[in-house]
Amino acid sequence: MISSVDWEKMATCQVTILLFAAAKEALDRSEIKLTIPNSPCSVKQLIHQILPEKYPTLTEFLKFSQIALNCEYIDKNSDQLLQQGDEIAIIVPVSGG
Amino acid sequence: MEHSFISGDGRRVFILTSGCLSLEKVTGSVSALESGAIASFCGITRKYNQGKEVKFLEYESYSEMALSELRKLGDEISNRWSVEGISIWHRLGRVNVGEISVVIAVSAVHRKEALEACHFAIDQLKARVPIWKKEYFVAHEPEWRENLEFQSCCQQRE
Repeated sequence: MISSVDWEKMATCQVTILLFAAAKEALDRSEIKLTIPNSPCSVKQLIHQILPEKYPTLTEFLKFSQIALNCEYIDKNSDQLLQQGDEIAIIVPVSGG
Repeated sequence: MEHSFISGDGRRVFILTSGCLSLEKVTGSVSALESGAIASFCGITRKYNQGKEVKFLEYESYSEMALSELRKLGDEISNRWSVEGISIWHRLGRVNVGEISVVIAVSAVHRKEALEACHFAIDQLKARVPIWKKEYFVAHEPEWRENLEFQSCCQQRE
């Protein structure tokens, strides 16, 4: 028998959003632990819907950033589904060198 | 603070460090008997940017991904050019004016490969390796810099 707690676990997915440089300063934090209630959720939904709704401050940054999923660049409009424990980084314009 | 990847054969060395960089140390890490050429690039913190006097720079990175991108860059270089060793060292944290922020060294049998690969490496590093710098000025508010190469790289990716 599956308890109600287990049902909740199955329907949600926890991911970590990593912030750097100007985005980190704007939100005054380097990471966000995000519980996505209606899994499955795609990268596209996260970037275009969930994050701007929950963190309006991020909206401007998202326009000019690239996204990395578990240390790999991925298209912002990717339909790839997020998995429990995924790390999504907002890569604001880089300035190494 | 140091994050590094050194391949088993020692021919690929990628280091992110808060310690001072030395050109000699980096070129030394790619010297091999079969190499007739070592090309190197040094990025230095300059005193003036857009007319404003710089006090120092502060670098930060997404280190795990930065090392992974550097490794991929190393693979791309080896696929395109016949090179022996590739070594890329980048500073993190505070870097004062006049200090070295990045050193790249590539060794190869002949100079053409080494020079081209070194040029490609710095251009690609600036476009895609997740490292950021904030510029602190003598008389102005600090600013996060953005490499022009990043946007052109994004357009290609999309």
